[in-house]
Amino acid sequence: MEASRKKFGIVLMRMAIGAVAGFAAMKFGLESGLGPLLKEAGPGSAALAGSGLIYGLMGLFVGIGVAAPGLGSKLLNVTGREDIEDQRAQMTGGAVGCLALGIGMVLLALAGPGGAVPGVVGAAAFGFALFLTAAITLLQWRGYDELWRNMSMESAAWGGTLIAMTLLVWGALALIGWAILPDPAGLVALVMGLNLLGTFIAVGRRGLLIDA
Amino acid sequence: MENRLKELREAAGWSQGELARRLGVSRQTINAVETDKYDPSLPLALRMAKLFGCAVPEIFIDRWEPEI
Repeated sequence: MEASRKKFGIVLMRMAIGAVAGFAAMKFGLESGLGPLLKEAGPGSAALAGSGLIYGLMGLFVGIGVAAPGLGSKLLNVTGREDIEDQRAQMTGGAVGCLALGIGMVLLALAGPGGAVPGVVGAAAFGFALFLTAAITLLQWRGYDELWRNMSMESAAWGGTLIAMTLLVWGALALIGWAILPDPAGLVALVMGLNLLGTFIAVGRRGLLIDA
Repeated sequence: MENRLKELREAAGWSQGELARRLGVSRQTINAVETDKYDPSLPLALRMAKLFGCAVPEIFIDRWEPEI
């Protein structure tokens, strides 16, 4: 009991450090490099670029973890060195998918009307990232064991439910004039953010956020 | 579902990784079953029973009783 409390405390501390580091990196990215480029864009574009930076950072951390399992076991909540070596292919796929989505989201955020990136480039980059992530998942599906297949479906179910409920409630409130719907970039950011939240819920429910 | 997987595994002197390898699943699956976070499929439960030389109800404890 004491040991599991200690483990949970360590996980919470790592998550808090990750959240603070992610937020700091996102704020730095938005205020320095991307800030001037997003100047003309609305709040939705800033949210989309910020979400893209979070996806990109996650991909980067997982990628570093795969490249250096010793360091990865300290950086990542979920797993020890042995697990990283065992699941190198899956984690590499996840890292590539997250990085591609992150880059795609940032480029899409910069591609709004009057943006720094041509619209077709932003849309193509984001579309390619979606296609790549789906292709990686399909290719890796055979390699998943039953827990990973279940988690994959549960994360899709959680993400889908969160997205549907949020959009339905928000839409209904907007219909009666109690809320304002997000702009297109904000809508994409919302869907991607809730999708990520769904994944965390599914993974957390199976105890994979706690190193055992 | 409550189970005796950890007890049986430790009695056999295997790590979670070793048991996972013998059953052809990931170590996380073994950990999730042992900590009651995941109920395995029937084929996996049968494989576990075969590996430990016992019946499935000796590993997984179901307290449900039929109403008569």
